Amino acid sequence: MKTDEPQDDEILGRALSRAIETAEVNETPYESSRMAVRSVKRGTSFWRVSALAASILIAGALGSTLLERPAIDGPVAASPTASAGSSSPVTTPGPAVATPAQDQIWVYFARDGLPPSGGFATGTFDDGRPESRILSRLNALRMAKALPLGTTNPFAPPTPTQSGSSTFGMSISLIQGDLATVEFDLSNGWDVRGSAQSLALLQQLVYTITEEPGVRRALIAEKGKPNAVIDQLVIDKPLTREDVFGYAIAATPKSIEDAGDGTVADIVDWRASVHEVAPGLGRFVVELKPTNSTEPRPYPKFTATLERPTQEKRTDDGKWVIRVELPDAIWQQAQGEAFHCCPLKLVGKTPIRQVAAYPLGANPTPSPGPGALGGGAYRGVGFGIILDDARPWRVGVLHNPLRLVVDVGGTPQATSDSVAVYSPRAGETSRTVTISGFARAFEANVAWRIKDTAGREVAKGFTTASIGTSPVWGSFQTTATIPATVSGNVTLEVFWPSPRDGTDTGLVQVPLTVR
Amino acid sequence: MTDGWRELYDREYPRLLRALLAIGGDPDAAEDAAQEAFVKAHKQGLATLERPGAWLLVVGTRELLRQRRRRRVEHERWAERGTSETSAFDAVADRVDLLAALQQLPERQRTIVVARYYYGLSYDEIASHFDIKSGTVGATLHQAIEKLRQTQIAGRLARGAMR
Repeated sequence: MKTDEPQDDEILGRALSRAIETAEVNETPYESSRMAVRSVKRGTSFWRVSALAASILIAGALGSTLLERPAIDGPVAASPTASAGSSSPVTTPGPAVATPAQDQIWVYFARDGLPPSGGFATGTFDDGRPESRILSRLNALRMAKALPLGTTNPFAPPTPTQSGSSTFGMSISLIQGDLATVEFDLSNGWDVRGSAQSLALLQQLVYTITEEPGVRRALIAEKGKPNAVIDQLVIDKPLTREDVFGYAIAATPKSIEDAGDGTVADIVDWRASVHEVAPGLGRFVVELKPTNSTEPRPYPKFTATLERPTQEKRTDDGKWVIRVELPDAIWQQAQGEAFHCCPLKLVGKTPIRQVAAYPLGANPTPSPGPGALGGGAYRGVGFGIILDDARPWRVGVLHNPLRLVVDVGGTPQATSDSVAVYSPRAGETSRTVTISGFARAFEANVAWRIKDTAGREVAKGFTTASIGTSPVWGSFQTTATIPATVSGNVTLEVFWPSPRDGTDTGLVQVPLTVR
Repeated sequence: MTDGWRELYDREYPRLLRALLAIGGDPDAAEDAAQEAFVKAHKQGLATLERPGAWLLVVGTRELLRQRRRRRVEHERWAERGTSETSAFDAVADRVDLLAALQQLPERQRTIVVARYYYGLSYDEIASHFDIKSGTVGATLHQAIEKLRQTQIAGRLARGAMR
C-alpha cells in the first residue's frame, strides 16, 4: 500500500507536474525568439567574446540570492494524522532531511463532562497499514506525556504499585469494512473507577480507533473474555463516535434551510472557533453586509446540510461535514488570488477540524471599476465545516452586524434538539446568572426555572428568543436571580412550552451551586 | 553553433515557459522571462552551461520575480480560465485546482516545488542553484505539498457544490 507520506508527496508532485505540462501556453518558435532575433542582429561573434567572462557570470548567477527569502516557516504539524517525522523523503534522491526521532500523532484526550478532544501526542507512527496506524495512535495516547489544557488521560498506564508489575498489550484482529476490532490484553484491568471515568476512557478509545480513515466503528475486546468490561461498562457491540459522545440526541436535524427575505450581502469575514463561546462548542460565523436592504433585521437565504464526506486516506478530511451554502452572498475576490481553489481555515480542535470556502457557481462576475485584474465577485458561496463527529448543531442569524452562525455541540446536558444553553456554565456559583443560548421555540417563547435539590421550584421566568417557529434558531439572553433563602446545589432548567398541551419541550439542565 | 542553440531552445523552452507560468501565473510575464533567460544564456555561451535546463530555470525565475517587483502587479488567471473551460471534468478541474493552489504558496515554495517535481532536480541541485540550505529543501517541499493537499479538500467540496 502506498501510504507513506513521502510517497503521498511524490504522488501529488507528479500530479502537479502533469498539470504544469498540460497547461495551455502559446509557444514562441525559435525563429521568433528574442535570442534568435538577437543573434541574427549581432552575428555569432558576440557569444564567443562573452564566453570569456562566463565563469564569473555563472558564479554570479548561481551564487546570488535568487529569491526573496522570507524566514523559513517553522515546522508545521503536518496533518493531524501524519507527522513531521514521517516526512523524511525515503523515495526521493538527494540528502535525507534530518528526521525528528518522534512523530506528532493525533489522538483524543478526555474532557470532563464533554466529548473527547483531539490533540497531538508524541510517539512513533508506523504508517505502513491501517492496522499499524491505529495501534500507533493508541500507543501514543497511552504514553502521552503532555496533555492539552483541560484534558485528562484515563488510558494512561497505572502508576506502578509495590505489589508488582502489570503488563499491557494490544492487537488488531481485523478491519472489516468500516469496523476495526482491537483486542486488549491487560493483566491489571483498565484501572479506571466510576461511570464518568469509564465513559471517558471508552470515548478516547473509540475516537482514537475511528480516527483511521474509512473506519467508523470500533469493537473493543479483551483477551480471554467474551466482552470487554471497563469498570462496570460492558462493551458488547461495535461503537461509533456518535454512540459514545454523550449527547442524548443524535445530530438532528440533518438539514436546516431558510428562504430568507431576499437579502443580498457581501461577505465581510468568516471565522471558526472551539470552546470560546461555550465548553465543547464549535462555532462558525459568516459576517455579512447587506447591499440591497436597509431592513433592520435582514435574513439571508441559506441551506445547511450535515453529510458524510468521501473520506480519503487522510483524516483531515474529517468524518462529517456541514455544508453551509449562501446563494445570495457575494465573495469579493481580490486580484491576484484564486478563490476557485482553496480558502481554508484550520481550527484543529474537536469538533471542528477546518473550514473551507468554495464558490457555488463556476464563474466570477468581474468586479466593477478599474483595476479589477484577476479579481471578481462570486455570487453564491459555500462553506464546508469539517467535523470529527456528528453532534447536535444549529444555525442562527444574529444582527448588528448581520451574522450567520453555525454552532456545533456544546455541553451535552445543556443541549437538546431545540434548546442549547451556553451560559451559565455548569457549576457556576453566582446568585445572579445570565441565561443565554439558542432556541428553536414556538413563537420564540423560552421558559426557565430553578429547582433546589428537593425538586422545588425556587425561581422561574420567561424570555423571548430573537426568532421563533422557524428553522433558524433564535438567540436569547435574560438574567435570573436565585432567592437568598436558597443555597447549595440547584438546577437551572430551560425549555419551551408545547402549544398543544403546555408540556416542557426541549428541556435542558445546568447544575449550579449557590453559597 | 546556431544549431546548438536551436536544439537547446526546442528542448528547453517549452518546459521553461510552463514552469514560469506555473510559478508566476501570468502567461505574458512567463514568456518575457523565458525569452530573457535564453538571451542571457546566449550571452554566456553554450559551452559554459553545464546543466542548461536548470540554469535556464534559475535565471528565468529570477527574471520573473524581478519583473514582478518592477510592475508590482500579479495577474491571476488560473481560476477564470479553469472554470470557464473545464469544470465539467474532474480531472481537468483537479489540475486547475492544483495550479491555482500553487499560486497560494509563497514564491519561494512555488519555485522549489516546480524545480523538484516538474524539473526533477535533486535536493542538492535545488539547494545549490537556489541558494538555500540543503537540509531545508525536503522540509520546505513537504510543507508546500501539505498546503497543496489541504486545498484539494476545498476543491472537492467546490465540485460537489457545482455538480
